[in-house]
Amino acid sequence: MATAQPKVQGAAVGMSPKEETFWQLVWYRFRRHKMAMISVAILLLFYFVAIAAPLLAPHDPMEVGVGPRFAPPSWEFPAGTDRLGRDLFSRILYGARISLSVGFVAAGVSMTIGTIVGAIAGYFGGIVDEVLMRICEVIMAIPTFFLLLTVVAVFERSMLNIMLVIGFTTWPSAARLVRGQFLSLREMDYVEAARSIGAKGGRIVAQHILPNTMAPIIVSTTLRVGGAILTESGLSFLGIGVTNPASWGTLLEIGRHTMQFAIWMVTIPGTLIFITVLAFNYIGDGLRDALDPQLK
Amino acid sequence: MNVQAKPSITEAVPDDILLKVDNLVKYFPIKPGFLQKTTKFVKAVDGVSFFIRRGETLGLVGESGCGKTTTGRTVLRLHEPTKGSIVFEGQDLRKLKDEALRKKRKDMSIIFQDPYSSLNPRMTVGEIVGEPLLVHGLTNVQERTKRVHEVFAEVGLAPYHYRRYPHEFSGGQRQRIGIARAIISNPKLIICDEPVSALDVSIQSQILNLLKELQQKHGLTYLFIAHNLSVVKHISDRVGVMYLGKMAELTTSDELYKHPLHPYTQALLSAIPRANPEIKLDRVRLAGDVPSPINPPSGCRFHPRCPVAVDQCKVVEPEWREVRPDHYVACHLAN
Repeated sequence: MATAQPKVQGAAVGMSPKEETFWQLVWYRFRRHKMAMISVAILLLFYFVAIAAPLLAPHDPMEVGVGPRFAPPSWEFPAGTDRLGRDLFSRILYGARISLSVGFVAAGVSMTIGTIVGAIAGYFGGIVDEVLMRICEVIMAIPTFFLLLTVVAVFERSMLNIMLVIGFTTWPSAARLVRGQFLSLREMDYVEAARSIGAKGGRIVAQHILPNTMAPIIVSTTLRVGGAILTESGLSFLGIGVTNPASWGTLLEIGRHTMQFAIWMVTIPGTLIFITVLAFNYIGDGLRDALDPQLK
Repeated sequence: MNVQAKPSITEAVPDDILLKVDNLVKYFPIKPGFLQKTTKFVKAVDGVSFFIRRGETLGLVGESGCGKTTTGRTVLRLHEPTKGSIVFEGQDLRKLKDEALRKKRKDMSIIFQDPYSSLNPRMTVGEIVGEPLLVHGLTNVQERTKRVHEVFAEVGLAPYHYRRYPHEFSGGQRQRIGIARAIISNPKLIICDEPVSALDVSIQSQILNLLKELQQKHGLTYLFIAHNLSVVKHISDRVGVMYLGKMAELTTSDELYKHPLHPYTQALLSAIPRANPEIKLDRVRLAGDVPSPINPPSGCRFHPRCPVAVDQCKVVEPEWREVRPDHYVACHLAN
């Protein structure tokens, strides 16, 4: 903050003892949510590991025969080895890069398209709203996974394509969320006040409506990251995910065949997916509580 | 100033009249569903005429749902009028194109009823109050801040409030912020949409006095909407009474409270509580509820509840006429 303010007496100002911005308050409330804070710590660790994978990985994830085949976890191979004698620990580190970035990019694409479409539909209303919402419903009516399978079958199976496909197939629910927010905020007195002083449409959206929809958008994005990671894992499990290097979902799929005697090949990547998705959900939960102005 | 209106309109309105509203109509369509034809309308405002002289306060009273708020907002074209004309400073606002209207908004503003929902929770008070200047082209931050501080002083806010957020203020303080926003662009007309009805009684008088003070200082003209008759009497030069989308009676404050002509006005006035318990109140009690504005009664809209209605009232809609100088009423029986 710019300058320290003098101490205020009396009922002139509200309860907060010192000047706090909105985001400081959010952070203050978020910190009280234990599970969310633990989740943040875990995810920070995961992302750090993913970024630093080339430095941390003891072996090349693709190198065959660095150890015996199907070696159980040991000091030398912390996550064991697979049927070609590749070091699973290294493969998991590299896999984290795929899984975690797929989640973020896919959720980002989904929310960006959803916010734009939802904002247009909600702000203009009327026939524009009707048309856009019908399009959303058509997309939502198709089971997401079948749509994904179809699109993945048509396009090249690169990491970028998978991210985009997940983003492009999940935006309608984001659009509906943002549209609902716009519809209700459009009727708020402060939006009317902005119109009454002669603010232009762009300013009303950017200054008065969008900042007030940020809370649900942020929460929804967080939850979508977890969802997208899960979707990518599901695609990988069906054998159409990212394979080079293998994502966590793909590792799970490979391990599935030898589950009877090499259980670590499924449990380790599986648990990691589970923890990551759960962590994102807890963060979403924590943000939802922290961003709710009613809980001030 | 760039006058775009045709001279014919300018001539029709004397110079001392700031705002002249003629036969204002606002219908809200009830949408039955996608691709279905709208057949029903909420007739929120159905042919209202009045004028406001420069520097005066016109009070507008009526029950909830009688269309006072809609009238106020339609005058500013926050709602698009269905019919009628709104002549502001000799210019018909309905004929203004979007950009011209946007520029014109500098001269008119509105104070809202709810001091909680009318301030954007994500903007600082300084930003909120300075916004009218910004949208009308004062982009220099120093000048804007200086002007905001001037207005802060006028409405009784302290300079250090500038960087605070609305949620840190009480209702009365928030209303001061709303007033600051309304006066910063030096408007000529301010629509006060029940500015005190959401406040504690002790704060109400403070805000009313502030409004009066600002009016004297800047020669402001108010359209003061309220449902509290005592508040309206206190602040208004002339008062209009609305019933179900129509104006029932309009005259000077004194005249209205001493010689109400419309039976509805008489009923309203008799409902004001007196401070003296000894006085035997001769209350006019109205039977029934306000009819629906979707399907208003025929003839005079008040006839189903009117204690003195005659047959004519059920069929013929009463004319809006000046029965005495500056005393307008819409009732067959008034003279």
